[in-house]
Amino acid sequence: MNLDAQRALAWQTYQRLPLPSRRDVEWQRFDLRALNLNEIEKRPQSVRVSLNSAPGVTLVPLVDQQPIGRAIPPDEPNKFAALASALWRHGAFLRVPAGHKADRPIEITCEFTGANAVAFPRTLIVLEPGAEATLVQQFTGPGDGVHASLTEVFLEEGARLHYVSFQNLAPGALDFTLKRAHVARNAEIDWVVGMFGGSLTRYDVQCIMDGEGGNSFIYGAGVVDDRQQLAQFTRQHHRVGHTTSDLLFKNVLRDRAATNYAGIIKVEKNANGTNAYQSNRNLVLDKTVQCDTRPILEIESHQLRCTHGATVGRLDENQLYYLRTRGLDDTTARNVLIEAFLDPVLARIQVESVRQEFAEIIHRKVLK
Amino acid sequence: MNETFEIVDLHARIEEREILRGLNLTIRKGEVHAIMGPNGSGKSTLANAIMGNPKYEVTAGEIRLKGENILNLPTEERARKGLFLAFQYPCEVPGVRTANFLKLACNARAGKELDTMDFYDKLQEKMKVLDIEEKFVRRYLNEGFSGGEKKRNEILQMLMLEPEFAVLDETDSGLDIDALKIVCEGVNKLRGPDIGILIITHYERMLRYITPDYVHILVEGRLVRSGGPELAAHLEQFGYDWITKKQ
Amino acid sequence: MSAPPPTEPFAGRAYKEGFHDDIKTLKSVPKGLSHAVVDYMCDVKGEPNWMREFRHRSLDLFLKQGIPEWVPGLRDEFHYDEFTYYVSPVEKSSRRWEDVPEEIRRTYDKLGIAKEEQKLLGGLGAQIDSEMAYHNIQESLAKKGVIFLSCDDGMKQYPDIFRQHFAKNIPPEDNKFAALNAAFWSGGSFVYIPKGVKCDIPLSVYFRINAEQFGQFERTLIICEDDSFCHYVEGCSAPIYTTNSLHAAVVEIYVKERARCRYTTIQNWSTDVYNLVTKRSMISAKGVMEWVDGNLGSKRTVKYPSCYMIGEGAHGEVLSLASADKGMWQDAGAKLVFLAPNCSGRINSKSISGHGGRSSYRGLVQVARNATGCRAQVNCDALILDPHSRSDTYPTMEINGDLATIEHEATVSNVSDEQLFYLTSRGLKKEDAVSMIVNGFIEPVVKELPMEFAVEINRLIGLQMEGSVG
Repeated sequence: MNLDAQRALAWQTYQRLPLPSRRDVEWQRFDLRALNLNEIEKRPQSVRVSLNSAPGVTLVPLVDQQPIGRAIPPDEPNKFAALASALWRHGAFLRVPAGHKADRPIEITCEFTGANAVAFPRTLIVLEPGAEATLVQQFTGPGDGVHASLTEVFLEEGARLHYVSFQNLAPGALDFTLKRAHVARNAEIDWVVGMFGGSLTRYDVQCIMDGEGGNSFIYGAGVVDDRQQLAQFTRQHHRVGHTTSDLLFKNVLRDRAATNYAGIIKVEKNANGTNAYQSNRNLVLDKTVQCDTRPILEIESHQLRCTHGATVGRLDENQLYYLRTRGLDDTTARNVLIEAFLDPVLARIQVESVRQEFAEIIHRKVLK
Repeated sequence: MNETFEIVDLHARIEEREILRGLNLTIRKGEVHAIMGPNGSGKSTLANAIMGNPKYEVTAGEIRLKGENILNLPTEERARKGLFLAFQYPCEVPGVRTANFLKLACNARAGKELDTMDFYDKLQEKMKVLDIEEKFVRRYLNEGFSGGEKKRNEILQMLMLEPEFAVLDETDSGLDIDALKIVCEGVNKLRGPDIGILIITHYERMLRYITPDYVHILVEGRLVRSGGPELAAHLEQFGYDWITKKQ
Repeated sequence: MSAPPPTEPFAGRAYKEGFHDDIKTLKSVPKGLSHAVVDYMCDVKGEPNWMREFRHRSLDLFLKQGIPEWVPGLRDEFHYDEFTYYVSPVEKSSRRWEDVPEEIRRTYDKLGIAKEEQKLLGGLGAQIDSEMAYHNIQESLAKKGVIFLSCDDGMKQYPDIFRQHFAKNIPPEDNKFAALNAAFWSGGSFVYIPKGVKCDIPLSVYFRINAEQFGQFERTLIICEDDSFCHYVEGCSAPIYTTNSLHAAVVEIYVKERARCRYTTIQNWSTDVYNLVTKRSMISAKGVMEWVDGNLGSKRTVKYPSCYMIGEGAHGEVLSLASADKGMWQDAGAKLVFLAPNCSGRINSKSISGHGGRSSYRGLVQVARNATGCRAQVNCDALILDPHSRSDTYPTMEINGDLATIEHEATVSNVSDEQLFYLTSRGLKKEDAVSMIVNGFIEPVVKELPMEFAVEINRLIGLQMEGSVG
């Protein structure tokens, strides 16, 4: 399907799908009144995409490269994904050729700039067989309004991607993001996702295990405060067996923030030899917050190992006391423990400078 | 200047049970005291009361550090004033790297930001004393540590924080003989005119490597007998029955 | 008990309760649901006016309400007019076993619910189709003021206690099947344990469906006054027909201050029966509720025993055991709702799917904002025995505020080749090895059961294991 046809189908899909309401279990207790979609197609799009490439790879603005829309089709049953598919104007295309190992991190930065604007940055990432790369993708900027982004990832046979992506939009942004990775035979994605900004954020993070021997590691950190609403949806879909997926999402909530995590592990029939793990851990810091979690398993295979867990808890009093016996004051001890809670996610980031940047964003939010 | 740590008529309880019933003790700098007692005599309550664990309630008495009653001070203030407790069961704090934590604690004790290079030099030196491997301090604080590693980590913290008065709560428990020797060597290194040490223990074992100046026996929340190192040996030979029967 | 046809790729378990007897029907209504059926039931039961109005109102609510969206599939399978909503083979509930009609006694003898069982029990009830045929309690308990009657007799003999509690916990507005039960309820138990009375021996009731294409709607009301204790045990079965039957019970329990109630279910319906049950307990301060919920039969079970902790320090616990064999879908689980401070709760669920069966765990843990200091722990483990079977886990946790600690852990696994190899290398037959592994898997739940029931569960699960791993 050519791009114009895709856009037309996506627009139809967008118009057909209803707006989410609080009656939907995925959105219950979320306040969507700030969401204004009137004449969205006419609003100015203000995104600045900066690219920082590495030798031997293709990194260019996304125009009409193939295979746009294969991982996230234009009729994806998700109102905001369809909206972005219909209206996107800016984005990036990354291709790492077969067997090539990028020798330094590749960076894609999408800056949302305008006031009462919209942004639909779209990214297409293809790692050809045996390719290896590290990609750092950032969504940032002072813009407010509707921000809906799409990222499609294809890891072909034996490819390996270390993918760090984080969102630190301004408080006026309403962010709807869908990221979907296809992992082929013996390919591996090692993925870290940071969710920090925006007043209302919905993050869909999905991996589809298409080939035997594929591995997917997904680690997420969310820090929300000041009435921020963060909805997270994760999907680990094992289409074939002898695949492994491991997911850990950790959130810190305070000051009237709300999170709603829903994660599914789906193991198809005969996908034997699957190992799938899913964990959602939430640290709640005061009693004004709302924390929902729904870890779901749908298993049709009988030879597998599958475990999931979810917790909602407070800071541990014994740990606080222990730190205080060493002279840390109460506030410092608390902050240390909050950052410690997220450390296992940060520890997955292999690029030191990016890990620092991540840590600083978290530190600033924790100190606030 | 008053260089003493004094416990005066201390009464303390946990939940509704009174555990300490009028305990008196004075430790001067340069001295090593040992408190020995059977299970349930109040050893852990004493350690926790000294450090201000919120789960324990002091109902009467005073704890004075260099003349100042510290009972109303929060735990961290006590630590900053030079009090140190080596825990019997150090808690695990996943996500906090041991070295980072030590840096924060040393800054808090010093009341200022320490030079990073100086800090690491000192850390290296102390780790050598305790025969601790480099990677140890990059691990999360106490997480997955063996019993011996946890105790060594407690002593490492003590060497780094250079307290004026230190309480070692059953530091010998869970240590094999080699680890015990190393830990005791570490304590002996620190021993000197600038520090007063209180060793709380059930067994005499640790006192073979750290000879105390004074030994006290704790029974039912009170010190019932005090003496020199020979008291510990006597206790080892005759058991606690000897003292409880005499009561 | 007949061997499966040779074309079947895998065998389900033998169901020895699948017989049916010719029992003379004394009263019944035409197929289908209507206000006329409600009036007929009120007339033959001689009910007060308020109950007649309640039933009519409930039927209206039922007709208005949709099936909850998350109950998958049911909508398309269901034709309410296929069922008969009231069938009674007895005139009244007897207190003496000899007074129960002989043909019904014969049915119960075959099921092993013989009179001898009374010796182990504090009381026994036996319901057949719409009515209780037998209901009796030990003299010693009756003397202490324990009431154990059919729900209909409870309404007539203790109208004040009854009306004070009936439908207050599960009103007909609660869900479509609660409304259906409220309109057509008949039979079930009324249990009242006075203050401070400890009823140490179980009160037991057995529900039997004998009629074809029938709807059974028993209703149970249990009130445990302050500081009391009771253990209520229910079992059930039905014949195998080629048509479906419907069982939609409602169980309301009030656990008052410091009281403790344990409710054990061994559900063993035939694979003709849709089992759509609402069970809920209200737990006052320091009260303890324990559900032990074993689901081993039925075509489809939709049931989530709930604990509503309304008083400080209440404790709610659900042990759930589901075995989904051929032709079954067990949608079981539990609900813990924390409405008061310092409460605790635990859910422990074990499910087994084999022979193409499907089991789903569906659970909810909800903590209200003022319910500080609450703790909940959820464990669900699933075992899948073969490639035709399926297991799903749908837990939901909704937490308001920071003063709660909630943990959920789940695993799905299979009987591993290594385990089988290890056990067979020690000389065990493969079936025995599987059975041993499965028994080990459910052990944590089974050990909570009284011995007689543990044996029964092991027997039923053992039957399901026969020939399960090829």
